[in-house]
Amino acid sequence: MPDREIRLLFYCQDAAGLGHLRRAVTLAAHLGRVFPQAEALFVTRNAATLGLFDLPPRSDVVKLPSLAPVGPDAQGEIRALPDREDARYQRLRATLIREVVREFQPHLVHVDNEPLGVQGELQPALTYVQQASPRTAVVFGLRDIRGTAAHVRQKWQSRGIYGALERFYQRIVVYGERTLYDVADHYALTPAIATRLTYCGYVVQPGAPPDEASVRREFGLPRDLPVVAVTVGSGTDGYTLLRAYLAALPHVVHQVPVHSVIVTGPLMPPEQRDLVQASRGRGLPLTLHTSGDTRALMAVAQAVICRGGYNSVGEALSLGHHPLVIPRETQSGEQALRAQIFQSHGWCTMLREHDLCAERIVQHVVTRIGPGRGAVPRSFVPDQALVRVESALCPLLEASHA
Amino acid sequence: MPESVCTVLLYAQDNHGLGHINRTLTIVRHILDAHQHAMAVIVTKSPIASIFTVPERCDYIKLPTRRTPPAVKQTAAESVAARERYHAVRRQLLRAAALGLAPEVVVVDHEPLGFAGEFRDGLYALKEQSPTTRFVYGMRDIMDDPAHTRTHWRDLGVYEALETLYDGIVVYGSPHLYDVAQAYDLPPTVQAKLHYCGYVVRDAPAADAAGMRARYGLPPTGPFVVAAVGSGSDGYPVLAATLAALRQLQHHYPGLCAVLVAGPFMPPQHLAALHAQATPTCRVVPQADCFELMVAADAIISMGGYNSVCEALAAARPLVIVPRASHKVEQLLRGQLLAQHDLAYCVPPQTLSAETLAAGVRWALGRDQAQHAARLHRLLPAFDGAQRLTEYVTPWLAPR
Repeated sequence: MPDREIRLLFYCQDAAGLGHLRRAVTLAAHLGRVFPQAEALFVTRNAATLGLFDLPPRSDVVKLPSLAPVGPDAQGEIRALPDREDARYQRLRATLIREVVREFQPHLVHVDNEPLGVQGELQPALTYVQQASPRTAVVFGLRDIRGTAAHVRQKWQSRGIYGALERFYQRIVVYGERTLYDVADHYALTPAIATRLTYCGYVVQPGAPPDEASVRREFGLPRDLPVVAVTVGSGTDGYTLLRAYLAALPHVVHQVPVHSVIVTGPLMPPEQRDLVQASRGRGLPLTLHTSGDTRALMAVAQAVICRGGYNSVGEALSLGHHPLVIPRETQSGEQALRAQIFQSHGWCTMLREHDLCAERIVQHVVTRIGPGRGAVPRSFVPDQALVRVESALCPLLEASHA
Repeated sequence: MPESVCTVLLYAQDNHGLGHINRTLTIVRHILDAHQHAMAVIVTKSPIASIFTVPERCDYIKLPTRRTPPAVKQTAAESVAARERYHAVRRQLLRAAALGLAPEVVVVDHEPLGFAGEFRDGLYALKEQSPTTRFVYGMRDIMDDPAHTRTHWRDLGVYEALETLYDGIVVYGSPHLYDVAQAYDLPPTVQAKLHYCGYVVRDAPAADAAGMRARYGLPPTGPFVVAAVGSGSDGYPVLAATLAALRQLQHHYPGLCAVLVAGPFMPPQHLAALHAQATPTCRVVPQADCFELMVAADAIISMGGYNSVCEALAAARPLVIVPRASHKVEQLLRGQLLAQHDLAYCVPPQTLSAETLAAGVRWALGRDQAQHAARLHRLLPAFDGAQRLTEYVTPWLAPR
């Protein structure tokens, strides 16, 4: 097995965030270590995420084009409007994915998050595999909490996801724990689909973070002050949190000697980033970055304040932090649900956006500076999760070679 | 969004360097500026987003390459099969992109049928499906040893493609400097399609020598040398020799100062070695806008790549060219040609040393800048290739 050629294809679609590509890179890097011959392709359309983190050896990216016109959305914000994209670009992406699958002949296709792809663009590729290459293992990677049960059920029902899971997917790898969140139950999976579930724990980047001195150098931090890390993921909607933190900062500094680092995220709208820059108080112990290795930053931090995305919270917990989580307030309710469940296990403190205030932020920082970090909850030990994914996928790879 | 949308598809072949992508993006910016109803899709192997900003109404498809190190155990046959697999992926993606976009105009850079012919199927299929699509081949004047290019083109079927597939051939160069018809043995029917656009250079930044010196903490007077090595992947010997040459020249030229730009792809150990030899007045920087620096310089040292040389020529500063040491003679030909016209001083890579490079810098610093610029502009009056290419394709992009 280790000597045979193995081709892996990861479909990682990101509408706004960085999460899916990062998870695919983590999985591919692990499988690449296990199988020294494995080659991987990542299929994605998000240009802004490329080059932000190094690709594992023997892998490359296929970037799909997206030419959504730019204009005001329903809220009046100027942004790319995928709904108004010329239909031929949608068709083109679907064809491009099918062609990659047909010519690359992967042994494993791993689809993250959207079983039929964004706008159903995976349908032609999956149909091709089913008809022409049935030995190819097709796996759906499901992060456990994707939204409230009602939200996900309704969405999956209307988009034909249940049928797609039944028809195309041999296995559903859940990046979570059944004891924390039973996806079969919450998402009303049919028994036929439920038998294909394998829970693997939380997949976040493994390995020792870089040493503290070099991280402090990289981020331009003083050598001795305790660090507060404030991250907002990709940054698309991180401004409210950052504004609140900046308002709380003078009070924080008044109570404890700390140095704060804010990472605005590569996708924060430039005008908001300028506001963050501008509202930065003079003489406050604060460093601003657009992007950077947030995990390394969290590793040197004493306190973490972040949004409720899978990767942000997962990384914080895998480093033994008890973060203050300010979930994105969205229709799906995903981040609030995650924060609420993790809080009920005593792993984090949740603070809703409408409750954002200086006191709660100050209180969190003051409590976290001092006691240091705790033990890592079992489900968040990265190496264990990756080994569980490997065990789930190996039999499928064996079968695809049979 | 306007009702009628025109699409331009551009193929930019790039393996290690930044040259083709750089030029293609300059061209795209000009076309999209001139045509508000147009959209552009670039197809390339280069992971450009991490280095460049793609303009609005433009996106790109990145084709995969096989990034497998030779250490992986494989028989020759397995390795050929694996390479062929990636080739097939790219071929089919290109075909699907061409047919799916059905663009009004296709601009293919450098390789008329794509790398190793990977775009051949797609181009011919598009021609058949979409008779109104116009096919433009954009060529750099100097590509490689002309005899080698002719053989390569004969083997790949490029001459047929130039005859039957392409509507126009734009040359990013000047017929006064290099006659492509003669070099590549183009038959009269193909010659009739030639359209010289001049060198493609992005818009020149405003010259502010004082501000540039201040930004790099250099003294306000004294000769200012700028050295650039493109992407930097093989620029170390040139910059190491530059530092040594500048040390030798220091006492002849009081106040001599320099900025050496390593480039984004220079291996870290090479960059570190250069940093170790840098001084407060001979600075080494990992990346910079070289064009901006060149405009502020008194003398330029550059490798012989198309973009670096064009930017240096557009800056109209005396230029020392150290061509890339490679089996490809493209950069050497460019350096020698410009030296023949007394527009540059060429240091062939096999003769590169502190002494030979110092002789070049002495030549450059000894030139009268105004006379040099006048001589240059007599031969190359403008660097508006992207503008002229845009004018050339405009009739095909008119809203219908």
